[in-house]
Amino acid sequence: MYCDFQTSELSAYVDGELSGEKRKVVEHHVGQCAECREVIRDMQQVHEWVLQTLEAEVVSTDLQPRVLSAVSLMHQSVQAKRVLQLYTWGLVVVFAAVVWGILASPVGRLMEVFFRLGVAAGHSSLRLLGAVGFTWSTVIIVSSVVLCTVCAITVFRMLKPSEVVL
Amino acid sequence: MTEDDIRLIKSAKRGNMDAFSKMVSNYKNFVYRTAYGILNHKSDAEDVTQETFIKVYQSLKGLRDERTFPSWLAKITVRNALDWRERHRRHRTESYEESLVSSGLNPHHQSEIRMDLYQAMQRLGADHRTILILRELHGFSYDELAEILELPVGTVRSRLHHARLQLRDELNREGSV
Ligand SMILES: [Zn+2]
Repeated sequence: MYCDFQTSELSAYVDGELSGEKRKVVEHHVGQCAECREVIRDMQQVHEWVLQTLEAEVVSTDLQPRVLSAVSLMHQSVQAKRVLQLYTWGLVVVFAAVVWGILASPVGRLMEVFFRLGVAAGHSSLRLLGAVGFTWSTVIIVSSVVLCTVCAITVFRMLKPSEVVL
Repeated sequence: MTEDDIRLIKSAKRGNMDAFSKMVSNYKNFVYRTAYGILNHKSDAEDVTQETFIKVYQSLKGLRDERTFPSWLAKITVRNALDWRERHRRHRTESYEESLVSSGLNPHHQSEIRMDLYQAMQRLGADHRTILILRELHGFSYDELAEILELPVGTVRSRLHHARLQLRDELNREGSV
């Protein structure tokens, strides 16, 4: 005959995972039932064997150096990435400082004057085009473009080596 | 977990390589035995051990409570070993002679038990093997097992119980018990 008490409570009892009330119930039953006592003995035996067998397994000695070299390689690349980041930020700061320095110097003043001159010229051109109306604006723009193109072509021809003439 | 262990892990977390090295030294067999119990293959278990420590290095910063380090480490190891098993479904089993030669155990009787136990373990499902190793070898509590295996405590309890019964029966069949 099999005892119908053989549930997971026996495992929990062996493992000390039962609360007071339940532990007492199992304890009481186990005190009277030889079959359950045998199951508990088997479980303790299983525990001993698994523990002893696996504790006898030792990792080979070359594993630690292998792990450490793999990890330190990653460590180095992380460090390198950090250095690169630092370097990039340093470069940005230096660039900003140089730009600020130029703008604050007399050269910067001169650049500012030219910039304002350009802005003023653009502004007045727009006002001129607005004053003369659409047709004349078109004429002025088209003739400027033609003039510029002709100039560009002339300059280009002058600069080109004149092999064709020979 | 001693205070020294916690200090070591905190230090490794901050990127101290000496502390990390010491941690590998302290826990390499913990990881290796877990992987070996699941895979029953020496070089596979070593590869999983290496993989596990690389993952530990990458994700140690995410570990909030250093006190939970062993169960956190066990969780990574189990996941790695089971993934490895999925990836290499070649069904390799190490010859028992090899397994015996490599162990330092000489008494013949002990060797026989080892042989029987590995044979019996191989007949258990991976789930049962895993929970047995975590409990019998590392002694994790049911709450910790539930955390590691992402299972309800009730399932942990019944799975562990069935794993033990099955292992006992397999060993009985081997004629050892
Ligand atoms: Zn009973």
